[in-house]
Amino acid sequence: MSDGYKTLHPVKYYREFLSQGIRPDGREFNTFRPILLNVGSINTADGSAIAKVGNTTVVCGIKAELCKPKPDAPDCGFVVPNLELPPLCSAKFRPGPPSDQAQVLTQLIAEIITNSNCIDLRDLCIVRDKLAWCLFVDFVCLDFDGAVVDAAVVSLLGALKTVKLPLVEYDPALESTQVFLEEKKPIKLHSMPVSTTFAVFEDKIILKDPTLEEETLCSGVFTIVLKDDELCCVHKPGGSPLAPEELVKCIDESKLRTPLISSLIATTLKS
Amino acid sequence: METELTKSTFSCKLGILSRPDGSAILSKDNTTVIAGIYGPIEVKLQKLLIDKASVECHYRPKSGLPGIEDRMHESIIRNTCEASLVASLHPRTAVLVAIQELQNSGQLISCAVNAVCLACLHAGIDMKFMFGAVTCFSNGVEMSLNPPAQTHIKAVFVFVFDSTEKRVIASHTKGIFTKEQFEEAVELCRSGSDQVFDYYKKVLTN
Amino acid sequence: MSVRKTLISNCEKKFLIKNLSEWTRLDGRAFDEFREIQISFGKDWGSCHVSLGKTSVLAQVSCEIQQPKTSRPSEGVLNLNIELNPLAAPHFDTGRQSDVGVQLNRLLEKCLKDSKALDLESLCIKMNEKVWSIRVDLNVLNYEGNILDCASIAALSALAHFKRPDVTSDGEEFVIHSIEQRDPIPLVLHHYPVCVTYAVFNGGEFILADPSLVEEEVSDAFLSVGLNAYKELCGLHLGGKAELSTDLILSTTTKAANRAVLVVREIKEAIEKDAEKRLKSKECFNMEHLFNDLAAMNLEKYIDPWAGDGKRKKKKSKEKKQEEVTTKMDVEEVVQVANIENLGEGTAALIPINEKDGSKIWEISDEDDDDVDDEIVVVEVPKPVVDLRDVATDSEEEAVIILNADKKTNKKKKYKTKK
Repeated sequence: MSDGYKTLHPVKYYREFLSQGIRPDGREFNTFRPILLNVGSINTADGSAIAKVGNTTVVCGIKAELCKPKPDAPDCGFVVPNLELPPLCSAKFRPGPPSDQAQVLTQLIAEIITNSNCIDLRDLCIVRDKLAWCLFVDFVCLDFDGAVVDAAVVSLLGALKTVKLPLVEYDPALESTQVFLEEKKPIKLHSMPVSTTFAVFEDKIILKDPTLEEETLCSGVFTIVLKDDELCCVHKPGGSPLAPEELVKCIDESKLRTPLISSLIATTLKS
Repeated sequence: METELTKSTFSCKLGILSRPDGSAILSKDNTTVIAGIYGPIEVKLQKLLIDKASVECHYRPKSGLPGIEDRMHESIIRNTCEASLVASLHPRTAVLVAIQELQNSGQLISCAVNAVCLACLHAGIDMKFMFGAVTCFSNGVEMSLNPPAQTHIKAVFVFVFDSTEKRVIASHTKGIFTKEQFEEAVELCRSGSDQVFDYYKKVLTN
Repeated sequence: MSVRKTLISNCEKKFLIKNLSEWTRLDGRAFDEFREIQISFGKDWGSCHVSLGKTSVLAQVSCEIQQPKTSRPSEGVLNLNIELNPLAAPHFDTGRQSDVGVQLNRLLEKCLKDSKALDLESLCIKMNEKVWSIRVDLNVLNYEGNILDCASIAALSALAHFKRPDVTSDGEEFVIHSIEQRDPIPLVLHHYPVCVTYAVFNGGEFILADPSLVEEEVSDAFLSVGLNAYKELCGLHLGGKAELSTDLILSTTTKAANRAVLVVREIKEAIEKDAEKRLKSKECFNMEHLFNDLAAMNLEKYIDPWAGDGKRKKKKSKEKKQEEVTTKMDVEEVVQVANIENLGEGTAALIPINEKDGSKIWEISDEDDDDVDDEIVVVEVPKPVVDLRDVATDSEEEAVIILNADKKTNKKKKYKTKK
């Protein structure tokens, strides 16, 4: 009975739930879903992690390759993120070249990485103007159920924490490189960006950590990324207008989540 | 510290293209963008929505192929238009928004958003409200609506406001900033948006 | 609602052809009359906007250093790329190039690239290693017929206007000097070829110069001639269905040659004018003919955030707002606490708990349904826990069980029965 009602009048169905101050999955407006993180899940990658936010699952794998720095930034390495939304993760996506949404998410993650400065590109340089590391950070979404950016950022941190780069020696005279696979060093993480996604239902109600269903029914989705006490991204790509005070309130709410995620990652790494 | 304003000029002309239903060229500080609106027009089958018009947005950089950064601009503009246009008036149709960059000297997103709004107004398409974008720069201490000449820029904010209640439709930020700086930036851009809306009026009544 | 591609009705076709038999065109032009050309340049080198009547094309030249082709180790590369922007007409699609786009691209290549107008050898930096690659991007902004002529003028003007940065070598390394450091270097053009297009009706009975959109649609064929200022042929294309006699082609080509001379003169004049203007002032290039009848409005007073009263207002409202926020936070008092469970083997879970009523809302327990049911009368409530159970079943079932140890045995049974 309720299933039929939900299919026929999804908005009404939600409206009735939300008028009672609860969401159909039993959460309150500002409760987030459980987050699960597993690090070092892929042996062949240089660093990897799986993060689950509710049903949303994102695998992050990092592959390091040696390359030559660009002439205009001779002391910097590269971080190249790429997020895939394969047909596997949702019926919405078709096989083929990356969809617009995948491209926008990739760009958002790239901006989060640069804005938060969590990896200093100069750390990735081995020999100025000659040799540097290029980290290919690939995300694959296995289950697409809302707040993909949040899951991707958690998996990114987990994966970055596990990355170990081998020692490389460069001989300028012979222009040859020697890689010591036995001696591996982790890379330094300068900050821990934590992302929180919100959805706006019918211009009024703000739902934290929305599911896919909520994201599609809502008139706007926005993401706030914090780095400790500072902000590094407030991304609201359109959608229903929101008073600035509401945005500030959401920033405060997402601040509560930062220490939790940090200790989650710490706990994961300890075990 | 920079307190003096650099001279900034808007110039705009509506209806510069004959094919689109509405078009506008907008230039601010040597950043120039052309926007055109077609709509409501025939919709492609895979983008058809049964209860409202779907908004298609195409952004073209002046050289090379559009990259993922341009896709993000597209998504901001598309979602802003979706919020503003009364899409439910034209079910099973499409509204096509096309933007062409002509010159870029910074503040490209806000220039493009404003050009799209002017093109919408020129097309006479039904809108719930107008929207105006303002860019704001922070060097960590001071906020300014004009790009500071020499000082190091720590954060750049772009906000899109609606004309009725001046609420935030879209926000896009670069760099690191505190909550207080964010609030200050919103407030500054909000007052700046009045001037954008006044400019719209001036263009339309001329 | 209008369709994307406007089709021409039979009656429009007949009307147009009947008019032609009375020697008139719909827009009042003579048969061999072209529309007016306007050329303007942007701030950057190689940025050019050309309009031919209402058709308009934007060209931008860019350059980069790359390896030369092995077959031509001492030559640079020229790439032309025409983009039919949806701005120009709604049926133009982004992404894959359409048949029309491919044809236009090839015709432009024939005229500009294959005629060797650009000196490619001057683009060589080091044999076999580094050459300049020049790319011309043409964006069609408005489609009112005869894109080809407009695009060829735009491409040629942009190439003639473009200047590349200087490169010097200190034996081993190459240094690219920015435009501020050293004067940039213009490209070397051997000659100036442009396309001149005619539309052919009734097997050559009527030949119209510079066809408009409707004329293009109605015509049987089009004849496009590439010519330079020396009246040398650098491209000839007859497309469509028309049995044109050779005499007719020759006479049309002769007419086109005269036109080409005029066009090239106009391009050169426009470039000279631009150079003069740049010498006078380094400020403001805004594709001025687009704005021609509009004096740039000075908006200084509009964008003045530091204006006295504005600033004061801002501060006040900010104070007020902060108060509001804090009070709001007090009232709600929803404190988020979550458990972090260490699951071993590099796995941990963060599970939120709602402190208000002390219940762990993510418990898996069917009894929870009851109290929710009381609140909502209209709809039957699905189990509020669906999500988590899925989390749990994916190999990490312990993740959840740890939460409520007392129900542990209970739960395990459940999974077993499920499986």
